[in-house]
Parts: sequence; structure tokens; C-alpha cells
Amino acid sequence: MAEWRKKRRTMRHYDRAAKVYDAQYSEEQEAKINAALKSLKLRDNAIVLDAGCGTGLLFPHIARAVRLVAGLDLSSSIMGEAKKRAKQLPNTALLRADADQMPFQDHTFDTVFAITLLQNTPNPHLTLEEIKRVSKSRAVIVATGLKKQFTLRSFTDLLHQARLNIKALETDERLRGYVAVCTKSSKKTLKERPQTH
Amino acid sequence: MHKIQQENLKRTPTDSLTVKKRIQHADPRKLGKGWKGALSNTEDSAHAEEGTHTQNTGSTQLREEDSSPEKGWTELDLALSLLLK
Repeated sequence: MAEWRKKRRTMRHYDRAAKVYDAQYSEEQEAKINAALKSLKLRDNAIVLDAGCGTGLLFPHIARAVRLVAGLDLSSSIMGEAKKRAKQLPNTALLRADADQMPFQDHTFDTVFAITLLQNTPNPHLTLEEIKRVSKSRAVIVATGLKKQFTLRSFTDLLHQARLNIKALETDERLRGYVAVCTKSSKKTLKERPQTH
Repeated sequence: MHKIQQENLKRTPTDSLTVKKRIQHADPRKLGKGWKGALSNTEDSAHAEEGTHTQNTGSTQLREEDSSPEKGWTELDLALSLLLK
């Protein structure tokens, strides 16, 4: 119940902020996107998920480089803004859904972006598990963590607990969030291996 | 006539196409009184309010056709649908 209360609160916040979101946050968001794309190579046949796509600021950066982009968000007003951007891109589809219970099949996406998502979900561990479920075994997962909410330690711990390998981590102090480019870990770490003696 | 209508209601949308053709090609004189009603039921339902499900086979058929990739979907809709659970 408490989780849905937080989700509803977040949804209402973004519903109210939809019209002014770009004016207020686009600079900050673009900085995170650029930091992520610096350490990332997108394949032209990639199927990409933008979980918590907001107004779709990421779409123009990636849509032409990949096969399909799926944008997902819970706020209907913000999806309205994203729709305007997606209209200009022939391979960008939108879906209004909860990032903790995505309606996608397992192992679907080659790359998943979770920009400004984890700080807005009640249980980021759960969100990362769901992201892992819908991503392919060799998928790249881009996640950001707002510095106000996460320390560098707590953010990296969160990713490690989700068994993600951090390939690149941007901690630039000009950014208001940490940007991590990760891969799914296929092997158990030494710590997690069962003791034999 | 009643027989055809009842049959019509029981059939699946694919079958209903065959039934619809049968009604259209049937000789109205042989169908007797009320054949116009049967035809208009099938054809008028093409203008039935979107999203309402009636017992009328014609409107069910229309709904099926509208949601089919050939009729209403863009390639993008189809691509996204393939990713869904």
C-alpha cells in the first residue's frame, strides 16, 4: 500500500510538471544522457527500452541509431509530451505502465535506460530486478541515481546487489546524479557462492 | 431466417464472414419476411459505436478487423505488440 502511495504521489508530481518539465529539467537530463552515451555503443539492430522515459528527451539521441525504442512511463501527462517527440520518430513506441511490473516478455531488450527512475520508485531493488527480467542476458543497463538521494556508495551497492557489473561510472560533480553503465552479471560473485566447507 | 441469425450469433468472427456472404448472396424471396433486417443487422453494425461489444456478429467482426495488423495497426504497433507478454 505504501509503495502505491509513493507511486501515485510521483505520478501526480509528473502529471503536474509535464508542461514545464523540459524547461525546468532538460539541461540536467541532457547532461545525464550525454554522460551515458559517452560510454555506450548502441547496435543498429538493438531493441531499446527507456524505462521512465518522461517527456522523451532521450528519444532523439538514440532512435536513429537503433531498431526500436520503447518508452515507458506511469504519468499520462508526461506521456502526452513524450508522444509529441515520438511522433517525429518512426521507430519509437510508447507504453504507459509501471516500471516495477512491465508488460514485456522476459529477455526482450538489448539496452535499457533507467534515467531518473530509481529515485522515483519505492523499491529500487525491485525495479532493477524487473529491468533485469526484461533485458537480454548480454544487455547493457544504464541507470542513474540522484545525488540528493544516493551516496556514491549506496548507489553502487544497489547496483551490485542487483548483480550488475558496472562498466562505467560517471560521477562528475557538475551532474546532479551518478550515471552508471552496467551489464548483467552471468556469474555469481565469490561472495555469493555457496560455501563448500 | 431465424435459423441463419442464430447460427450467425454462435459463430466465430471468421465464420461470420462466410455467414455474411451467404446472407448477401441468398435470394431475398427465398429468405422470406425479415431478410432486410438480417442484412441491415450485419451491415449497419459497421457503424456501431466503437468499443461496444454487442451480440451482433457483424460488429464483432468489425472489431476483429479493426484490431488486426492488416487494417488498423502500424508496423510500429505490431513491433511493440511482439514484445508484450
